[in-house]
Amino acid sequence: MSSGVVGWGAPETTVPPVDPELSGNTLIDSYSLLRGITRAQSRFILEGTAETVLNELLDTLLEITGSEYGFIGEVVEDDDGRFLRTHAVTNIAWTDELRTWFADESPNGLEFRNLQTLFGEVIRSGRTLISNDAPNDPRAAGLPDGHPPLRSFCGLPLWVGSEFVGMVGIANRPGGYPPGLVRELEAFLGTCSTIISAVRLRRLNEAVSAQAQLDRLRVEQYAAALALTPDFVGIAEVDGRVVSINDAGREMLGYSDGLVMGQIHTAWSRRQLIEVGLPTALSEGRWVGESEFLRSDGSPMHVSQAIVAPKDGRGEPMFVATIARDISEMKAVERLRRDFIATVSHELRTPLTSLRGSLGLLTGGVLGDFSGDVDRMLRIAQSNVDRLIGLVNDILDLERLERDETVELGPIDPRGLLAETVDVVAGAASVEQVKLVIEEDLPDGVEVNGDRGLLVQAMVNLAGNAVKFSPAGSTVTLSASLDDDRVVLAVADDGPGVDPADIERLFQPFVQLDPDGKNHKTGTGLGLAIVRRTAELHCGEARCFSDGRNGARFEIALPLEDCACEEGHAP
Amino acid sequence: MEAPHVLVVDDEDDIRAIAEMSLARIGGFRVTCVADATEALVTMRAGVPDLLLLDNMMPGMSGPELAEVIRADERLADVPIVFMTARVSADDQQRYVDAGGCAFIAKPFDPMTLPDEVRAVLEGGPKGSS
Repeated sequence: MSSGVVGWGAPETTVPPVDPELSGNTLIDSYSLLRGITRAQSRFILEGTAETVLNELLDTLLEITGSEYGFIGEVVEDDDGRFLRTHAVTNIAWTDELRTWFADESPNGLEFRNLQTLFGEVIRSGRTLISNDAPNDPRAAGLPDGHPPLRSFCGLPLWVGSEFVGMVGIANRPGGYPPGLVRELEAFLGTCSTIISAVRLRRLNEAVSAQAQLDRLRVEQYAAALALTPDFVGIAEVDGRVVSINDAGREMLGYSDGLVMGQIHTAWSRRQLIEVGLPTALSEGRWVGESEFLRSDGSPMHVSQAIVAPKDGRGEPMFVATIARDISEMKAVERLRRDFIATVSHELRTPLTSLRGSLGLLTGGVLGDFSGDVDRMLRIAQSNVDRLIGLVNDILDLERLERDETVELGPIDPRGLLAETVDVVAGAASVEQVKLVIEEDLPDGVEVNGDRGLLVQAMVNLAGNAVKFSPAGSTVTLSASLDDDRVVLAVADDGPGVDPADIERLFQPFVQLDPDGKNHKTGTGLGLAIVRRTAELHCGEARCFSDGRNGARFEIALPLEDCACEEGHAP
Repeated sequence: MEAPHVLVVDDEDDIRAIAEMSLARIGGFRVTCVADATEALVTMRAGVPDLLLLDNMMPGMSGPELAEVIRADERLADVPIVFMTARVSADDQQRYVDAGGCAFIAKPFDPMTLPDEVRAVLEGGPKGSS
């Protein structure tokens, strides 16, 4: 036989293929093929233009196999699955519309996603497919109207190692495609595989380099913005090595024209940053707090400091930046305000002591008895001095609580607190004809860790309010109970209650509600602010429950566990 | 039996007057008032009082400082000292105890109850008051 092609028709033919090697012949023009491959490789190496080279290779392949049309494509995968993107394809467009589409899209590669086709079978399986009776092949789903006839088809997968990178498809070789063809095209397929693989690698490198450029740009934007802020901005490597400090930062520390040498934090501040600040910033991206800088002359400076660790596309911290603002002036003003309040309040006490003392002696009858009107006026004066004294005391108390220097924690039996509270308010309760009742529902040995003096004062404030607003003959109940991991101290009364809309406002300083509009029982407006602050200092919570009609219930909920919140002071 | 002798040390004239009136008229004590620590030491060395009612903040030597001098003086060391003070935080209370105070009375005080509080200390009653 002169050629293996002869007699090689549709797959269902019973004529066995003729092995060209056994017959001494080859199926194709090996010389032309080799020349085509060599030329393509050289061009790709020298010019790097994959599309041109693959188009030339396709032309060579069509020519030596006698095929009418074909393509060389890449197997691509996205969220919708595998599909084919051509790098070289014969233009077989048969309508004007398709011709336009082909002209527009083919330079970027045509995408074919319908895999219910002969080439689709290759994409799905990654294996060679030969169909020499394409019109009757069940794997082909038919052709669109106008498509040039498809008589035979040969689909050859392109593999690089274990990676399925693409395929070659050729059609309509006269007489069909014999299986031996694949072996003879090995070198050709290898070249196509290498070129597609190289294209992929190039694309990957470009993506990585684009990302790197984007990252660099972002860093530059950060740096440009931060360099101009009036705050201290320092940039450091992730390991903490300082890279740069902006001009404002240098000036703030007093290094106006030199390098910043040595530590810029005081000892406690440095420890805080190493133990808390940096780890938090690196894990969570940000830490904000107060620290202390050291100026070049050794003096400390109070700053509000943020540490940020911007992350790259892979979620790794790129660098550490710290931004700090001098708040020493703010702190000084705050201190001044507190000293002022303390001094004024204290200086007020001296004349108040004299006033209260002389009025007390007069109303006490030590200097003789006074007639009705004089006595009434003296008592009005005395009760208002008492109010003034209460106000000054509350201001001082609140001020001390704000300074939170006075919390002295120790184990306290909640029952003792209730008893002590009742002792203090018993006098007022008897004047108002209000009954005080203690209810406790606590397991033995339950204690809270707290400041006894502060807690008694807070409870006295609550109980005093309850007595003040209770109608004569009613009852005020003081209770202690366990709620999960908290001890709840409560004071409940049968007074007019609190409008639920006013509850939150009630705990703010100098807020007084006048439930019955008579304004006959006034206080300082600081009592509940003191209660709330006391609760906060114990990592607890102060709250009020009322429907605005049937009395009110005020609670102080205290954690059973040792206080570990920011406000609290561990023992 | 002669009435107990109370020495009041306070730099405020008005407060001395009120304390004296309260302690003498209501309590029936013998009362001497002085305005500062130096005068107080002179008076005490001339005749040891039964109790010292001592202001905390005074120009010159403060109340606790005077108390320490008194405690170091063998002849005066046993005189009970009651501090009169506006400052009654836990820290302050400890300072008064450290200085040898056996009670404190918060300012502003009630002149009607002051004598009872003083008497309680003299009789070895409860320490501290409000």
